[in-house]
Amino acid sequence: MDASQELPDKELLSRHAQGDEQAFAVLVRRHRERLWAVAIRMMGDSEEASDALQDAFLSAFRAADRFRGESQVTTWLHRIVVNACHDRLRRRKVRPATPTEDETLDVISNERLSRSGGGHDHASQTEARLDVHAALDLLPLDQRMALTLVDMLGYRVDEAAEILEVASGTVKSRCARGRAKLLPSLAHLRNPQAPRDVTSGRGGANPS
Amino acid sequence: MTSHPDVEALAFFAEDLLDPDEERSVAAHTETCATCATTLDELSGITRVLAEAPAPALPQDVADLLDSRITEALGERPASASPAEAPAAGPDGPVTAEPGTPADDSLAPVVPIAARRRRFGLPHLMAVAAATVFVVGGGAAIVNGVMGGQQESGVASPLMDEETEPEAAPDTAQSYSAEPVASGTVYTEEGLGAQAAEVLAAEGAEQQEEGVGTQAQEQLPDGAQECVTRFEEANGVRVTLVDDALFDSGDGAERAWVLFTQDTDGTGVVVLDPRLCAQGDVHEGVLAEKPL
Repeated sequence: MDASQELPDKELLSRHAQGDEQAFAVLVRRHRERLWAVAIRMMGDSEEASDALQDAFLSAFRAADRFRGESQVTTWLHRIVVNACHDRLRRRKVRPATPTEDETLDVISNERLSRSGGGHDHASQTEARLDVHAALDLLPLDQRMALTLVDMLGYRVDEAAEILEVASGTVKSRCARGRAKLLPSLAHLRNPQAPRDVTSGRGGANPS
Repeated sequence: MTSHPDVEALAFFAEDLLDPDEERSVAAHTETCATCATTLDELSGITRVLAEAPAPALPQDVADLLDSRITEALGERPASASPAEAPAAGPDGPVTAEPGTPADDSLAPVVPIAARRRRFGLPHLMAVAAATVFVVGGGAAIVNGVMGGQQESGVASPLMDEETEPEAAPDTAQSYSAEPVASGTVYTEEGLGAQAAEVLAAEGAEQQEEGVGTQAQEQLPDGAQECVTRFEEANGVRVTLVDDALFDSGDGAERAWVLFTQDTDGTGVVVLDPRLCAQGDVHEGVLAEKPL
């Protein structure tokens, strides 16, 4: 009776496409945690990640009959989630008038330096998240998606390439450009294991 | 010695993306330039910072939201086939989202939310269906034959044990499934008793002869399991067989679920309207019933 729990993704997807009313839910449960991890890191905000994930699963729900089995179902689902995030990030990007990148990076960097004296672990974690996503917000979307998949989530370059439907070399160069751009705003965080008093900022790089 | 390469060139260098000439010159430069060596080090630190950026696990409310969106979407989906022949199951058996059964998910714990979904999801799931007849009990001997056949066929269920204690809590009632059939019978109020007995007899004979009835469906119609469970809970009976069939109340045959039930007093048959049942009231949904 519980056989459905072990059915392969492709079988579930095709049963769903044929009208089975349970198959898709099984698929969602199987992958939602992982895809949430993607969405939350792409969006940096739970509410937006939730919206993106809903968009994505509904797209997948409707597009199931167009799945041709050329890639893994997981890859296909990732692609849909990444696209849903991309759409939302693009809209978000259009919205506010963004200052020039260098200016903003400096501002963020300084703000952080002045704020980061606190000793609470949780607070500094939150800070780190805000910092990272504030910095990511300034990247071109292509670079951001590549970096999110490869650096944040640890996907191999070839996996990211398949999800993003670009060549592996393209993923690498997007990551490299993105890292270079992030350097001014994130270098101070590069030793998160360092002592809690980070008031010394980026200068104190002798953690051992 | 060349001037400092820019940060992007260093980042490309780190990824082996430079062409050989550039690569040689950057390599030579960084060997002697502490600043650029530090920058390279910082670049690899970026990856670490990104990898360690905290992110919350999937919140329960988001998981619930996903479920309800999917349920809604199912409700909006056009019925894929005519009701009478719709619920054919795949060869591997029914696809069921069993309550609390975690998906094969090595990535993260899956929180069981099926109990809630059963309640809230039902109206949507069932909106597609029309009416189905549940046969509620009916000829204990025949029912036993049916169940016996089921055991032989390898889909054994705890029903035999539970028959000795029919007052079992509703939860345990979910540990077996009512046998689905699609007899194609057009039940009528007058003929209900006889028709039900006929279906039972046919089903019983089939089960005994072949192990698995040829007309037996492998899966209850969509939404029927919820309906059955609710009916069982509401009435304290066990549903042994569900006939996805038609019921003619005088103005045309409509899809109906005929439940064959069994309790301590014997067996009976109840005809349910899936649409009404879907709206959550199994009493409203009863079109006809008869003890057998």
